[in-house]
Amino acid sequence: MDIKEFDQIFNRYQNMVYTIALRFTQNRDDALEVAQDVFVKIYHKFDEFRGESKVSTWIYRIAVNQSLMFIRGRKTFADYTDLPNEDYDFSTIESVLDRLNEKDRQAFVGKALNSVAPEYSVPLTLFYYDDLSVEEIAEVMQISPSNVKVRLHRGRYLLHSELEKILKLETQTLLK
Amino acid sequence: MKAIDENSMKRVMKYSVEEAPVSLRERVRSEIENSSEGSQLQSTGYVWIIPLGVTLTLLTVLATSSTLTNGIGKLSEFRNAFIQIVYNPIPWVILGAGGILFMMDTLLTRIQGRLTR
Repeated sequence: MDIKEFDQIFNRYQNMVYTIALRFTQNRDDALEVAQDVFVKIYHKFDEFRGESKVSTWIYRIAVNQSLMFIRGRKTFADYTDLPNEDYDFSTIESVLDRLNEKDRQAFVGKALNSVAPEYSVPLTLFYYDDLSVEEIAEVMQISPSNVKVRLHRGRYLLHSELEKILKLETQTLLK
Repeated sequence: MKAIDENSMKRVMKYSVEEAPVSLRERVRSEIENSSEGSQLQSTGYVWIIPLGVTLTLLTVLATSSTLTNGIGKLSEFRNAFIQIVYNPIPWVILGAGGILFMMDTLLTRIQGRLTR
C-alpha cells in the first residue's frame, strides 16, 4: 500500500474510526490509542483485503474488534428487553438542537451517545451517519441482521431518552 | 406507536461523529515508520543501500571475471584487477549519480509526506 493511498483512507475514515473507539472506550486518550492501532493495522493488512466487502465495512470491523480487545473484561452491554415497543419522534429534539450553536449540538449529541452502550450507539451512527445497510452493520458488529434491527430500535429509544434528559437539564426551558 | 421520522433522526445523527485529534495522523505515521516490517515508509530512509550494494557486487563480479580471464586462481591478479576498477572513475560516477538520485527521492518523499500532513 503506498502512502498516497493510505492518506486517502486515513482522511476519509479517521473521524469514524476515532468515534467508534471513543464510544467503546469512553475515554479520549484510550480512543486515540485504539484509533492509532487500527490505522497501523490497516496499513499492514491492506494488501490482504480481498474486496469481498466494502472498504468501509472492513475498516469499521477492524475498529470494532480493536476496541473490543482494548476494553476486554469491561462490561458495556446491557440487553434492554423491557423497553417499550415504541419509536420516538426525533423532530422535537431536532427543533431544540436547531436553537443551539453547532458546538453545543455536537457536545450534547456526543454526550447522549456516550451514555448509551456502544452496542447500540455504534450501529446507530453507522446506519444514520454513514448510511451502512443492516447487513453491513451485521458484518461490522458480527451479529445477525435481525439483531441489528433490534439494536437500532432500542438504540433510538435510548438516545431519545438521553437527549431529552440532557437537553432538559442544559436548556431548562427549551424542552417541556 | 409513533412513526419514526427518519429525516429528523438523520439530522440529529449528523452530530454523532467526533473529530479525530490532529495528533492521530502524526502518531500513525510515526508508528508505521518505526514498525520493523520493512514498510515502504521506513525503507525510504535507507534506500541508498541499494545502489551501493549493486555497485559493490558489480565491482566484485568485474574483478573476478578479469582474474579468470587473465589467470585462474592468482590472488595478485584479482587484487590488481580490483584495484584497477577501484581507480576507474566510471563505477564511482555511477555510484555517485545513483546515490544523489536516491537521496533526492528520499528527500522529496519526506517533503511530500510533511506537506500532506
